[in-house]
Amino acid sequence: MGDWAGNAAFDGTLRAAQGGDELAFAAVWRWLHPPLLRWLTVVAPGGVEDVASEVWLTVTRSLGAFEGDERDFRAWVFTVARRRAIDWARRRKREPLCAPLDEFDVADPSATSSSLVDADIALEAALTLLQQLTPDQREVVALRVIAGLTVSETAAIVDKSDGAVRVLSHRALRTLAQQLGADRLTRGVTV
Amino acid sequence: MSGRFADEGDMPRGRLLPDDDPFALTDVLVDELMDVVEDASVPAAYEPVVQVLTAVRKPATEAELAGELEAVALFRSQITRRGTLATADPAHRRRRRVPVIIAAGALSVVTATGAAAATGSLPEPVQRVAAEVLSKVGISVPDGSNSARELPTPRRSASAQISIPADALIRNESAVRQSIASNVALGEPAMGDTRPGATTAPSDILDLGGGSGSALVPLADPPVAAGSGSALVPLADPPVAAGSPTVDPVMSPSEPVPAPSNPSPPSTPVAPSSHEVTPPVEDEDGLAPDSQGGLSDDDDQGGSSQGNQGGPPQDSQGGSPQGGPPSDVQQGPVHPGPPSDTPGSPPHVDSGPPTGKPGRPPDVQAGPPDDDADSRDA
Repeated sequence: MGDWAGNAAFDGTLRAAQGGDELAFAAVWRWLHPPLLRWLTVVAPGGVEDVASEVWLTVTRSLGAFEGDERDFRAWVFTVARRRAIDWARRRKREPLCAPLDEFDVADPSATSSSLVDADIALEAALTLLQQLTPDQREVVALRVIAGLTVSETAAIVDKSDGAVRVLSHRALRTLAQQLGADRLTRGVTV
Repeated sequence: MSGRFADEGDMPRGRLLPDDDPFALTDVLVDELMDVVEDASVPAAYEPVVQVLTAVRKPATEAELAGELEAVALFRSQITRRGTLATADPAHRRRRRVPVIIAAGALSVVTATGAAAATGSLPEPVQRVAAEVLSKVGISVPDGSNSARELPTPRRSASAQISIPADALIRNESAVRQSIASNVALGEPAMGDTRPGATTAPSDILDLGGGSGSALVPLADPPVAAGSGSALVPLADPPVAAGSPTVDPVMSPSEPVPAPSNPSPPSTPVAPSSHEVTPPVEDEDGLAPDSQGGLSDDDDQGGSSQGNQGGPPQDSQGGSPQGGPPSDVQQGPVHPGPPSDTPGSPPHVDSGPPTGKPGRPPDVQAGPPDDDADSRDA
């Protein structure tokens, strides 16, 4: 996941989609929808499907006016996704859900750390672990890892400097490492 | 110095990491972790992190791709009737609307102007230009001068021609018959009597007094030039004493005019100095009067102020527009005054271009090339 892996070149596929080709649009959708869902699972848990629908609605409305290559298109889609996620978060504050958000937004670190290290890591467990990061950290890590964006592209989306993105990435990885069996790993290194 | 290099194998960026921090990272290691580089040499403390990051980058699952049909349906709903996606965002739409709005505004202005030109409602200069422009494309609209002067006139004349003959002519006819009858009774010759004793002409009889005759006269006879011998002119003019010179009230309302009974020129003709200075070439070009404050419309007042000293109006000062030499002898009593009295006149004469056309060379020189161009075009 990450780079374009369609049968045809991305530029031609995108032009076909802009011309109304449903198959071309489906190819683009299959390429970007999974990372979009995972990114939303990390940064906007609880509103993944709703936000994803709004993102694709915006993308289809503005797809005809888009100009750029594969990386530009991916960065644009996640820029749209971030804005829709922010809108969703604001709506959620005005209209609180019936159940407390903490019950399904934040995973229990104690329940996942040992199992993640020892067993085969499942996708959902990994996303749940990323949710334990601070909002800035998980957003940057999700854009860098899940969306496959560079530091500069991520910095442009989150409106931060490249250095700030590097610092956030560094702290996020350190936090993850400490949560994933800090005791055992620390012993192995220091010995 | 206690410490170690992170990623000791390849010496990344030479940053020295502390020995007591097992989670220390370099920028290169952070990038390798984020990019999930498979063969990256990561510290043991980050091996679980690599597994987590690799898991979130696994290929898509079937559950994640379950909504493809809905997404394609959404995409289909956005396709326009032309079969393509709308290529315009709001900014593009605004850019498209601007020319449409401008074109609509221009069309409205042209339509309103054309309607005003067709009805002759425009100001005179604009109306004249519109008439010229539209005449080139075969559309005839009233000219500015015509619309201002002639359009109302036919309405009045038409109403007069319609209303006056209906009642006044009948009254005139009955009055004429009564007058003829009374004249016959008084022994005067009847209408149409051309015998030597007859003194009245049919047109003279039409002057019935009370204004009815004066209203009828213009309808019967259109205005004619003075001196054409129209029989109606004496009816409108006040009686003039015999022997008194005929004075044109328009040309010289207050100035004495030499009696026509004295056609001989003065014995000592006075030649104005201005005529001596004025070169004939300037008269031919029509520039000398202008440079002397003469014939142009703008200089009429100045000329009259000079002419009030005893001369006729400017039109009769020397026939300069006709190109002839100044008739100084015939205009002895005329004292138009020296041209130097007019401010700025000497510079016109002295500082003129070497072509010998002082005064307004651009106006004079601009005319012939246009004519030549027109002739060439023709």
